[in-house]
Amino acid sequence: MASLSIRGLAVRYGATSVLDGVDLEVADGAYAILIGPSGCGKSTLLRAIAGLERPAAGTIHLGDRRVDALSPQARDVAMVFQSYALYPHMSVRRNLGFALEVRGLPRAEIDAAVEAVADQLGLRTLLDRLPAALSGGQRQRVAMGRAIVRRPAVFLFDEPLSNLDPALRADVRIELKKLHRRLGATFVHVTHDPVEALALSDQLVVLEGGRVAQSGPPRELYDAPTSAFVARFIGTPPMNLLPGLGDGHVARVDGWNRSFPTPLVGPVWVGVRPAECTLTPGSWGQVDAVEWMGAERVVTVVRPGFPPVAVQLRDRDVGIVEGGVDLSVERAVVLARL
Amino acid sequence: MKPVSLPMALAVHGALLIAAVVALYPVAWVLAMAVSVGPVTGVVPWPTEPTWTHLAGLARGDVAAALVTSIVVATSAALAGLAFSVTAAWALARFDFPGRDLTLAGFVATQTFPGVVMAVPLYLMLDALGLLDRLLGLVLVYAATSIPFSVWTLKGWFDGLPKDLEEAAMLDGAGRFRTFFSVLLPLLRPALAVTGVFCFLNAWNEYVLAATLLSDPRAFTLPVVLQRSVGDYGADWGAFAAGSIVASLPVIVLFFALQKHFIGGLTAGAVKG
Ligand SMILES: Nc1ncnc2c1ncn2[C@@H]1O[C@H](COP(=O)(O)OP(=O)(O)O)[C@@H](O)[C@H]1O
Ligand SMILES: [Mg+2]
Repeated sequence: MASLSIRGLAVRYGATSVLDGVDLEVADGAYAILIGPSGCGKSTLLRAIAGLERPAAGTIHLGDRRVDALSPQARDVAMVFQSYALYPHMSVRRNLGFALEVRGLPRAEIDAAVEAVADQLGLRTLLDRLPAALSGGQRQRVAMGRAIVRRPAVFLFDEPLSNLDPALRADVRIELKKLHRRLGATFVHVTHDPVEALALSDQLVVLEGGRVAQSGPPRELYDAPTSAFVARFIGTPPMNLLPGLGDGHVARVDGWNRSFPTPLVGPVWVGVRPAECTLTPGSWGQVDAVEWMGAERVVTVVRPGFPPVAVQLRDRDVGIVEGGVDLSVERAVVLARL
Repeated sequence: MKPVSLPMALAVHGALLIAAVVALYPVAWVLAMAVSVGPVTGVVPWPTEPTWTHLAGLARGDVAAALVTSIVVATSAALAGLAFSVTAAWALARFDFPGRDLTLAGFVATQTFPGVVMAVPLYLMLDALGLLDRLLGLVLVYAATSIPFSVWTLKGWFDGLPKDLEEAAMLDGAGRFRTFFSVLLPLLRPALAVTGVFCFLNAWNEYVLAATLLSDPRAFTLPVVLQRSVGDYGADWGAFAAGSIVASLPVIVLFFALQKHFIGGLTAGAVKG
């Protein structure tokens, strides 16, 4: 068990800088999720923690051990690869036990550890199969089992659910959460799926272009994003960003009689969650489309000079929504517009 | 399969038959010569005055000794060549170091020269090392000459193996050697079989260098002995043919023994699927 502390981490491939001064603190036993668009350096950060990429600058501490100069073997981290990376020529049993075999543990001890993990993950009957004879979900569990067997200080997961079909994904997501609670270990999990991120994390880290854009409890990022990038990235449908003007005390949106406190001056974004809006008949905008999603409806409202505004209506009993509407919001955040 | 019409089937089988005859005709000649007293004449290779003397003659004397020499030399050369090539190929496939591309290009460049060009320099080098007429010298030469091709072939296989596997092994605590022997080598078995056969045949069939570097008849390899049997003192074609058959046997045996490796890769199931 260990906390993770990263300061000023930089990773470059030749002349291109992939990570550029990453600072990150993950508490011991936390479930941290790294999220960001494709190519923003999530896998690279995970690989740097694992010791598979050599940083150009910065430090990495696990607990009070500085590990950035250590080989992967010496770091006491386990990683579940996106591809699972099971050894194709070894049975599930040997795949699970390989790390212990390498450490030279006695056969009986390895068998006991492997069987205990196999029982936890429901792999008991598959122990003598080769990876080629497993389904995608089973392979994923073997990959997790291989990490668990070692009892590492930190677990690293690189998009562990991305190769599963959607039905299985939801199940495994719950499994992961329970596993985290049971093991009490530090998890660092990379994903590009905002739903997965909110559902699992107790610390959410948004990466943007090789830097940490915002890090904190998921609710904090959801309620109070500090940039338009984070605001749009967390939550589905994404937060509406309406152009407004700040005067140093409040910001106003054209056509609304409400104002929102802010010290910003000049063009700002007024950010409104789709679920925190209500519609009343009026003339601010026109209903452009209504999508029924089962438990909710997503209504798109348009007004000339504004981006389309999504409104999530949870109440099934609201009558037909059409024509001219006014928008009222429970809450908004004001963000710098660059 | 869709049914094939009779004329079509006849045409296809006829063509295959002709191809088989063309390929096997010289082999039939050698077989016929090996069991004939005199020269085989006529269009159909059929034994004249059948005899076992040529084949029986192989059991004693220089052919049997040369057979053993050739097996030892070719096997050692194959093992040594593989050991050097597989490690070099791993390094060239996985590590980026100064001179890497130059090394790879150099390996190709050496392949463009005919082997004979090397005979004299190799002779001088082995002479300086005191390895002329020594089988160790020949083994080193054959191992070295097979390396460029083997490295290229094996590098291709390494390039095709997911790097994740090695990284997973490193995270599992395995060092480079453990990773190499426990994870990579088992996956490369088919590649090693194919490349090993290539190295073996490279040494097994080689004549020019063996004839140049060996002068002691006790050290002769099979190709040298066979050539001499139709050389200086009149051609004994029967003995030559019998020797040729013996020379082909290990190749055939090797091929059948390793056949399954030529077919399937083992990497299925490494990643999602
Ligand atoms: N070996 C490499 N050589 C050069 N560039 C790389 C290499 N690996 C990754 N990159 C680049 O680094 C950036 C970040 O990659 P990665 O960390 O895999 O992104 P993510 O996992 O967030 O999608 C990408 O732009 C990618 O092209
Ligand atoms: Mg990635």
